[in-house]
Amino acid sequence: MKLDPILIEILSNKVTSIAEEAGYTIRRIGHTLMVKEIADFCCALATDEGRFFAFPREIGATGGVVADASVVIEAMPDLREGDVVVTNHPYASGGLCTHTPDVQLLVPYFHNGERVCYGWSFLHISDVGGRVPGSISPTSTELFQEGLLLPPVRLMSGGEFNPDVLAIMNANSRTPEANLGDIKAMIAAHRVAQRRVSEVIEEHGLETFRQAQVDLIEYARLKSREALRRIPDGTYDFWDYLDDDLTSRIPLRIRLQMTARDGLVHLDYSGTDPQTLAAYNIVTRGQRHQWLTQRMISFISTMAPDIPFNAGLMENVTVTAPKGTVLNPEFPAATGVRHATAMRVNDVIHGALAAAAPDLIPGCMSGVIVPVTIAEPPTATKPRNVMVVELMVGGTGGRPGLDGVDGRGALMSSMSNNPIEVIEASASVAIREFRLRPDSGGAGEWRGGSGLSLTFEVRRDGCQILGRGMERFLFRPWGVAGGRPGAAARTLINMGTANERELGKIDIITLNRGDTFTVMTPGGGGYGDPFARDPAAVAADVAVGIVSLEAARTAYGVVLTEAGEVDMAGTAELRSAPRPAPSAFGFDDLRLLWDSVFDDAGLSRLNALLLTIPAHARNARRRAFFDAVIPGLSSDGIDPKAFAELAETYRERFVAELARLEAHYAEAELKAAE
Amino acid sequence: MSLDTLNGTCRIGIDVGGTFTDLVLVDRATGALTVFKEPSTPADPSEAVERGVRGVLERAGRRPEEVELIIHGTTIGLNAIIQRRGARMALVVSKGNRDVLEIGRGKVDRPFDLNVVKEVPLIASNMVHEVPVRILANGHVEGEPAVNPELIESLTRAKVDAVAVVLLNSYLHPAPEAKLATRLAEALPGTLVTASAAIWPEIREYERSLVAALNAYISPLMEAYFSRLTNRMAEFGLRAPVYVTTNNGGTIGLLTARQRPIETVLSGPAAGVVASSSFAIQGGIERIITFDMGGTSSDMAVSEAGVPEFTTRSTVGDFPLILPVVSVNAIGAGGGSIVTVDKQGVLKVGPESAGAEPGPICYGRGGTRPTITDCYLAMNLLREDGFLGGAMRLDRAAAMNGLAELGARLGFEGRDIAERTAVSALRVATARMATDIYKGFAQRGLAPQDFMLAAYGGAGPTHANFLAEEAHLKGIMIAPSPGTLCAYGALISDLRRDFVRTFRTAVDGSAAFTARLAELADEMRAEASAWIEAEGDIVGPVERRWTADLRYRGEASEIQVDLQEADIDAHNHAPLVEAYHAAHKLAYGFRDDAHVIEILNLRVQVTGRVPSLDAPMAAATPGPATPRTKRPIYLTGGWVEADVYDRAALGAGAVVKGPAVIEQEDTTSVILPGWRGVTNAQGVILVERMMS
Repeated sequence: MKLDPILIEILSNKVTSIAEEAGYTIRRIGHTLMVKEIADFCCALATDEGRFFAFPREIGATGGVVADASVVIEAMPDLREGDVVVTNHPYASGGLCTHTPDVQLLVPYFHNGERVCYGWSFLHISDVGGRVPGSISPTSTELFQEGLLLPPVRLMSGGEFNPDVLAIMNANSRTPEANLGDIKAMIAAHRVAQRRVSEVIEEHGLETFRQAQVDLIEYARLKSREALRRIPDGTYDFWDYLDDDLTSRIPLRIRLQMTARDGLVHLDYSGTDPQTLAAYNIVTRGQRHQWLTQRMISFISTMAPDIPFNAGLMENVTVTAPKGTVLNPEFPAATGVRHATAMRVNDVIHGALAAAAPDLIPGCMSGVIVPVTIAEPPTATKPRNVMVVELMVGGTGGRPGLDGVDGRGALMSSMSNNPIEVIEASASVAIREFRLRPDSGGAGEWRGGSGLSLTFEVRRDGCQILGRGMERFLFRPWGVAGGRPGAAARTLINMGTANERELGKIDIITLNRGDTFTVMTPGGGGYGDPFARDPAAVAADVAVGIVSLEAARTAYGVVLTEAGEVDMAGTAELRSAPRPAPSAFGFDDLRLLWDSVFDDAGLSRLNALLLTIPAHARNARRRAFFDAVIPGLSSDGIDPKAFAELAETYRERFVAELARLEAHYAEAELKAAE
Repeated sequence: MSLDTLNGTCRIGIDVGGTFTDLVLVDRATGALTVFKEPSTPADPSEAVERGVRGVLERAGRRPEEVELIIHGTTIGLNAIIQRRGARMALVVSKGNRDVLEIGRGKVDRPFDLNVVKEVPLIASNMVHEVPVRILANGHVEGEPAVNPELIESLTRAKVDAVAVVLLNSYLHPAPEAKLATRLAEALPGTLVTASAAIWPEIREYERSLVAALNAYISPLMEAYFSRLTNRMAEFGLRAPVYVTTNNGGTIGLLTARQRPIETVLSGPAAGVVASSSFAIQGGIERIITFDMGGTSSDMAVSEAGVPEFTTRSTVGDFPLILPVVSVNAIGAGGGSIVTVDKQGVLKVGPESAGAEPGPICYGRGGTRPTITDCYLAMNLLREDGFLGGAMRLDRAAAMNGLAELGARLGFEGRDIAERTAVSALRVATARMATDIYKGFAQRGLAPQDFMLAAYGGAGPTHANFLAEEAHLKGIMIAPSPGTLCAYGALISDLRRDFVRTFRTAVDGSAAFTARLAELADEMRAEASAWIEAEGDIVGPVERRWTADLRYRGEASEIQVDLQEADIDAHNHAPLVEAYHAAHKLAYGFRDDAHVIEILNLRVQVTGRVPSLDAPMAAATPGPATPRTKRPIYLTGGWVEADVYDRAALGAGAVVKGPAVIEQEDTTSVILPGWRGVTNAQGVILVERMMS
């Protein structure tokens, strides 16, 4: 770092503030739900190489600090003062944009006729056309269904809107006015930021401003290195699954090998499943990317809370993601719901970190699940009413020395839930229960955070409930260091009545007046051996009803008296009985069974093979393969009972099918060589 | 109501802070002010109040029976919430809603922090009880507001002091909740029972639960305090009525304060903003940012045309608060913020604070790490013997040593290493405060060069010019007694309360809307009148400011617009509609006249004017003032010779050019080179850039 240690701190503050002032300007001027409530926007300052040296910490979507604008900058070499570049094309923007509604602006900032840095912003606008309102749906199978595609083009030239581009954009949206309002909010934000950049240059000089860009990234790199040195040197493997990819019921695997050496970390996603037909693909160029490193930000900033928020944060981390996988798809794979995959990518990084440094890392988080939405039929006076009933989160994992957070705070989400009274004022439902879900937090010396349980009664006939894309119904959030998994997600109708029915994953169901619908979110994984948990803490959990008497006994080895006090003798006896040694990761039984059939090495070999065939054929080939191992898997999903009974048969078939496939391709290769 | 009942010769404003209890006495005839500071007595704050009142009376040469009015600000409620020292409480809620405090709004602060925790709920889960009664969204009551014996037994066994009752949708239909509260109170003699809608009938069960629970939580403590206070006052012959300042910059009588102590929790900062606004408007200044810099933190607020900005999204301790309050935000650093050098050799200020204990190194109370206050001393802005009028001596040598040690780690060398470190730390702290102001302005769409910085608190006037220069503000404004400004704010506060009704429907000319609006307004007016009536004889003219929270149907956020009482009464909705379209155009650049507008809340702020006193006027001493002495101060670039003035000698029209230091008992003001201060008729120093 060349600047003096006072200027570093002052300029760090000032440039961060500029990004935040721009963010606040967007929030003030934008007026859509995405701006005001969800805060799905961001504004930052980038170097000539497209790396962010100034990034907001306190406003907007703050996960993109590692994003890289270089591809867009290279695509637009001759930018002049007053030009504004727009793009929403995931592939053409080199993964700067990850789904089409996130409209990106890139603005060269000039001072006295000289370009001094770039301003960047994105905002999730209401609609860019395509198959469905809002433009994204998990069941879109290619990018062209996800609306208008804008490669980097000039939205403004010399400070004036380019009317042709604007006309195309307006013609390709269901909500052109709302879009324009939000885009203007971004432009206003850039005006604020540009003016403030000029003020900083006038005060400190251009040379200092340029040097600060280098130094601040270096400063963050140094602090990040210090934080990353807490990961012991070594190689750590971890993989986890999405329950399915929506277009089939085959679980979708994310696989990571993390290598750490003296504070330098490499994340290798080889062995991850091929790109999918669902809109779950994350466009990344196969390199370091914001969606492939997000949990690393959590780790680094937890270890180094005072780290400057800029590209330097991730300078010590490199990434490989093979072309053709769900984490580096080939054009035109659909990308709209890539955040569903990103949740699991985060869990996988989390798991690799836990394998490396279990003393620092909590149990798995339950993550956010998709919003539960109701669609009421129209009446004579009111149109069809579609609204999100509740945005449900689960618990976070238990942590060394701390229980997980109950019913709040899935990381990555800055959204508030919907109050019961607001829901009831807006939809024909009565909320019958909204509570922490008993026995959902994974058992552990430090308990995983409880999930939530929401039950609502429908007050009109013919209401549809939409819950597509809910996750963690099959494979549960795992525990760490001997901790046990959190409970799986559930949905039921008419719970506690004669008509009670377990639904599992739902797409759309129709309910009539008086029916109730219940959704339960997963709990976080536990941390540490549950038999080491303070019995008084177990008693306290039982007293408030988030751990049952039964679970106190079976999961924690704690016996309680009628009055709810710890029976010390009974507890000691239970806890001293022989039991299997707790394992490093507390996976659920189904996951263990699945792994016993589909071993890591085998699946990695399978995926390597699939990547050698053309993208359009990969999906069908994969389905056929899994259906050959487990008949009907792609359409009917896993039946846990049958799976347990037939695991050995499945295993034999998997080995045989894999060998056959390998032979087939070896032969094909041989032929091709001849 | 008669003004004649106020027939003493003076009034007293009191602000009970954590470290000091400040008092200001105003002479009814001349407007002259007498100020007094007394160390606070946290164990029983009324002790310091009594000593302070005796002190200020003695200093002003008055007898207790001459006092006509006491207005009093206290942080007892806030401290109880922050330190969790409130009542032993239970919460009674509708069936299915027992985890309302656990779930909250589903968010945590710092979502990236793997070790993040949520706040400990105000009421533990095992003290939350469900009852099988609620209101549906259509107002229909499900179940009976009966209390069953097990509930009573359980609450009795738990020995609770207070119970909050929150039924779902009680904001729509408060009667069942009120009935349940009454029945609980009957069954639990000696226990305070609070019904949520009686305190604040607004939609959103979590926030309303907190209003009710916090109100009940601090009630017993506040009640005990008010009793002790009135006893002490009576004992030495002080018969004047006591009023208490509120979060919304007003005041309420003791009777109301006992029922609604939640109204007082954020009153301290609000009173400072009220006082600054008053000085600003008297001095013809349209726009100010207040800057209250104390030991641990600094607060800012925006006030335009003498009216502070209000917000319905604030926090108290760990909790969100939806009551309308004067909008005050913490910024940057305070005098106690600790200066450090990190592993990479970069200078940092805060976020850690030495607070009052152990405090800065120079306090000599065991503080070992340099703070911003130590920097002032090293730069010679403060005098070793000049703090609190000489009551507390500061240890400059120790501060210099601490700073020199840090300076060495920054690579500084030479004779002025401590001073250079101090200036550097001040620059870092000031840059941080300036960015916080800029962020606040970006949220509001305001421009800093239009604003004067109204500085108060012990360190505000010392730091203000540095901040004004860094943030390119128009200038600074220093009230006559910046160290006791909140007590003065109390003194000039009017009676004020806010009322709300949630009313979610389309805004149109239908009777369903206009008649219901008028009906709700009648209800609110009646409630307000009953309150004003009960407040005693100090109230002059009553004003009602009506506002409504409106939005275009489908939009995510609402805008608060004014509406006229006459239009409400005349069932005339058109002006409201137009006001909203216009406000939307102003905020977002367009209006959509065809779009359905929805109302969410109707609000009224009721202000009962307390007969005002003439503002104190400064004696005239126009022209360049004469410095008492000179002393060197260290600024960026080295030592400069500054003129030193006594504040008391600066009458109206007095002109002071920087570099200068102005000393008075409760603070030290600094004027930088290139700036010039002029004292106005109210004794306020206005500092602006000199024309070159």
